[in-house]
Amino acid sequence: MRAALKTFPIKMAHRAPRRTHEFNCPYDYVQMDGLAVMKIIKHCYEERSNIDTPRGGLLGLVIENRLEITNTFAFPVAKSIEEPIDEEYTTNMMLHMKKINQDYLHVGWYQSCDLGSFVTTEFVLAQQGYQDSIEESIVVVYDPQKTEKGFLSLKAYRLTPQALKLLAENENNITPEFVKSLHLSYDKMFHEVPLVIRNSPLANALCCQLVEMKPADKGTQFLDLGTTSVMENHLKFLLEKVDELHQESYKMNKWQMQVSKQQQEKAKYLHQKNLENAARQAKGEPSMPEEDLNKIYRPIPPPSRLPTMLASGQIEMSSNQINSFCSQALAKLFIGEALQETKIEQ
Amino acid sequence: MTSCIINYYHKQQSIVNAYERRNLDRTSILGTLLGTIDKTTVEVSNCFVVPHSISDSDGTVSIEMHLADTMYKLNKQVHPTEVIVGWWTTGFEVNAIAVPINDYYSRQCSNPIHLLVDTTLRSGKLSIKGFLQVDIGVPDASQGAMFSPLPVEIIQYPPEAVALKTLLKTRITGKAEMLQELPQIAESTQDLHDLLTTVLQYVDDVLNDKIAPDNSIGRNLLKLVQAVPSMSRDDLDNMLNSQIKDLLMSMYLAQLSRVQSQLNEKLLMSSTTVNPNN
Repeated sequence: MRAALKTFPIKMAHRAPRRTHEFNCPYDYVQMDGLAVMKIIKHCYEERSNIDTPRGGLLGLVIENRLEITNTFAFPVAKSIEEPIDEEYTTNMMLHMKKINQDYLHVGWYQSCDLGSFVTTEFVLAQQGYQDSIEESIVVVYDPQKTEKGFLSLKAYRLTPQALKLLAENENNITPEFVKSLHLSYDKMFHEVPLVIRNSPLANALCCQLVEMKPADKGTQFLDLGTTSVMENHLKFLLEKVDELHQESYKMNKWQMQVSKQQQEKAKYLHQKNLENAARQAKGEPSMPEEDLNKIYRPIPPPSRLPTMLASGQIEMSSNQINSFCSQALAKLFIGEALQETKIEQ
Repeated sequence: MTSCIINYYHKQQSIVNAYERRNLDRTSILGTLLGTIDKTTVEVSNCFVVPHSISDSDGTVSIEMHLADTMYKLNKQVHPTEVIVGWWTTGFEVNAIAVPINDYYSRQCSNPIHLLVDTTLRSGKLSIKGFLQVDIGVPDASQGAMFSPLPVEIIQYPPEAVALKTLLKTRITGKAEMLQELPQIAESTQDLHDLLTTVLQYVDDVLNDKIAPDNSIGRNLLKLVQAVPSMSRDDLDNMLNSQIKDLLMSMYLAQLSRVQSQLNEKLLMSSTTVNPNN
């Protein structure tokens, strides 16, 4: 029981400062203004029934060893999934920000994902686009469900250089050998950057005032003992991802079988040809012309490794989330037990 | 007729932020308020800054209407339900420039409300006051306008309340880090422990006749103790065990999936016969 509580390692904060050169990240941590945090929450809360994944842009600046995010703005809903983010809207918004003395450098984007389910192809491609055009761009993932349960969940990610190289390849060329040559495994695709929140002194004064006004019992949902609904959602999601992974590995197996069958047919064909040639030579006729085997037996391309990697990556993140959720639920149960025992003893 | 203004916390932060970023020659800034009107209540959910200038010669105020329009249109694309409901400014009292600006805004919407945020902290507090322009004076003679105050209430969305808990930590150290779940529980357990110690200290003091007993506090304490539901030993054990078993099982399954996908990855990396073509 005690060992189970220790299974969640908190190693992210230690990893980043020592290895920024390895991840090609120009800063050590991300600093968000309280304003930016609140705007993201507000946008995602208001739009949660209209769109699946509310998105928006981040504005800020890179100073010393940190990326400061000072403001955000929401993206209008794209009319189709294919269409990229509205360029005109973004440029207009940034011009306006410049005029009112706000930071106007576009340093990244944010997305809201339920249950932290952001490892999808379109997400990864979008971040690749950003990192290609803007060197220091970052993506902030906000989990509204987890926040509603009482734990503010904002995480900042960047793609690792190996992941960028992988994505730069054409979809059809993401073969297993290519992946191996990059030494890329699914857990090295993203690099999490530690995030802190900061408020200016005047905003701190506002905070002090709000503390007095806020009723003490608001925002204590995280002490709720009920865990079934959250666990159900998490496990259902994990099941879906494992199914996906299973499908991908089935495709891989089928491809391997097809290729080996093709090899057998090739061998048979060659064998027959050789027999025929031998027969002809015995008769003194010229042997048949060489034919390009590749034209008759086209090599079947292997299935792309990208969906598999993304599915595995998502499984890893979901499992971590389940672990951390369970550990805190267990802690709460023990606290509840302690309170209850004293009652029973009376 | 509006009777109450509802404000959102994040909107206040925007105002404070915009005030900090104003041009150095200004002492106050103003902007537009966006939101929805619902019978007698105005709900303000968004705002943005509109640059303005006061000419020295005759004291006329000019605001950049073009910018205000552009920003409103941009916002409409993202939040189609928000309309202009009024305007805001920083300062500690309503001054003369309020009237022409209010005129401008009354062309954009009916009955614009005016919000005054005291960022200069004159009264020691960041006070937020709401006003509505009311015509006063004798008809056919001298007429004027007065700004009558309106009650202002600040509310939050549920997730905002959660975020506030973390944000409010910045008032002590200047920075707030978001905690993982288990450390957060540990921290609140510590808080609970501290609160309980205070309560116990109070009870001890009353028993030792150091403080006069207060009946209302006593009643609250009784309610507190009775809030823990009474169950028998067996019921408690059953409930706890079943919950613990569920949680451990989920953890086990999650770990298993993780280990399996890691194993798959390792095998893939080390195998050399993945592609039979070579």
